[in-house]
Amino acid sequence: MEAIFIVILHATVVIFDMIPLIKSGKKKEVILYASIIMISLVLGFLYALGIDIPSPVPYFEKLVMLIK
Amino acid sequence: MKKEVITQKQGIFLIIIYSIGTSIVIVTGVSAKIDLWVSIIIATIIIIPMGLIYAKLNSILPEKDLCDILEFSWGKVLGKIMISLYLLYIINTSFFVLRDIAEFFRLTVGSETPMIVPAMTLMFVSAFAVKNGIEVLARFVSFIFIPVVLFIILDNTLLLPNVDIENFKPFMYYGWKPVIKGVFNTIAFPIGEIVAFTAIFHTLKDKKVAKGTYIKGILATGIILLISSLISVLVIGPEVADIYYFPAYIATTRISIGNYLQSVEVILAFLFTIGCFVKFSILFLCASNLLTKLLAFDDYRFIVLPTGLLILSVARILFKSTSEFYYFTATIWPYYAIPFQIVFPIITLVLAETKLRKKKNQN
Repeated sequence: MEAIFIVILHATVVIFDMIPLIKSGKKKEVILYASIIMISLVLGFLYALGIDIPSPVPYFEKLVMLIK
Repeated sequence: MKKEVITQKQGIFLIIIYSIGTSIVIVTGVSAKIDLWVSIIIATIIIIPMGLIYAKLNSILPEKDLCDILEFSWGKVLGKIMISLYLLYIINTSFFVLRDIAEFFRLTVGSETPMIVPAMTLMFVSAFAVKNGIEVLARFVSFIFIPVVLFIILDNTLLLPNVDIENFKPFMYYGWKPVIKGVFNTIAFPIGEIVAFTAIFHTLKDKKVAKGTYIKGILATGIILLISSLISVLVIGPEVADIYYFPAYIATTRISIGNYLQSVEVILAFLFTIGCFVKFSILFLCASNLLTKLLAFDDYRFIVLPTGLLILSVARILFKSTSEFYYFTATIWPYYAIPFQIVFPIITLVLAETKLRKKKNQN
């Protein structure tokens, strides 16, 4: 259910925000926009499906503990 | 594109609402137990000179924002690396605001609500504000500032009858170590987070007032944090405050005037939501601005919504549980945040001053 919600959420943003950008003909902007939205969609979708995405936090904690 | 301008008064209001926003339900420097007031005072005193440094950074290159200052001071390549690091820091801080509001609603208001609902709502409202620019956000903050302060005064006044003065003792029972830890925690969250304004205050109408804006904002934040944190801890006791994730909220639930004035914590939830909105919007604006400047784009507005969605997705995967999140913010976060709040601004200012002097001598 949450996975469908994530897809609908991203699709809504693409329809109302990205399509006008594509129509304006700004290629570089469209590439950056599409890249960010793809990363966000993949991460959100995998998380919603219950797939364990490795978090950078434990590695970061180890690094700080070394400095400490 | 129309140049955005904010006044000194709006700048001060922005700093205050930004800083007290999320910390209104989280007692600041609670690791220092009842000596947290000492921690808050020391942290405020440490951040005041930093405010002068932030102001100097804003006025050293008039009309230039944080990216230009970093590139000017550190050079082209190192400057880009510094911009990327600041971008990471600001995005990380915004993860925490989203996570804070999601955890708050999950733990206090609607335990069955999925985390994405409050976080997504906040993200969309903030995206709307950010797309309209800092001027609109500043006007909104000027409008809500007085009600917010009145609500804080009302909340703390109503808590006064529940204050147990015995909780105030013993002074320095645990020694200086927890107090120093409390100082670091208070600087990392929330007072030092004011560093984000170096990316915004190039929009100040008069650059000469930047100093006063930072100092007045920091002082007012320190006073509000000191009073509200101290009263909350005096009501529920330092040990209990250390256990809960939102101690100030728990303290407010104790307010009961006769049988007709109860559930005042709703006011606190309202203040927290407003504070989260303002804080997230400012961080969101900085992040979008830094990202577009880093990749050499002119306008940040087109990138606002995808950045917001990315922040929303990553904020959920960073921490597996609430306790992991609060352990990280209390123990690990200060080591990461303080270099961005204190060390890098000092080095940047020294480098910028040296470069400016060299230029003057050459001329």
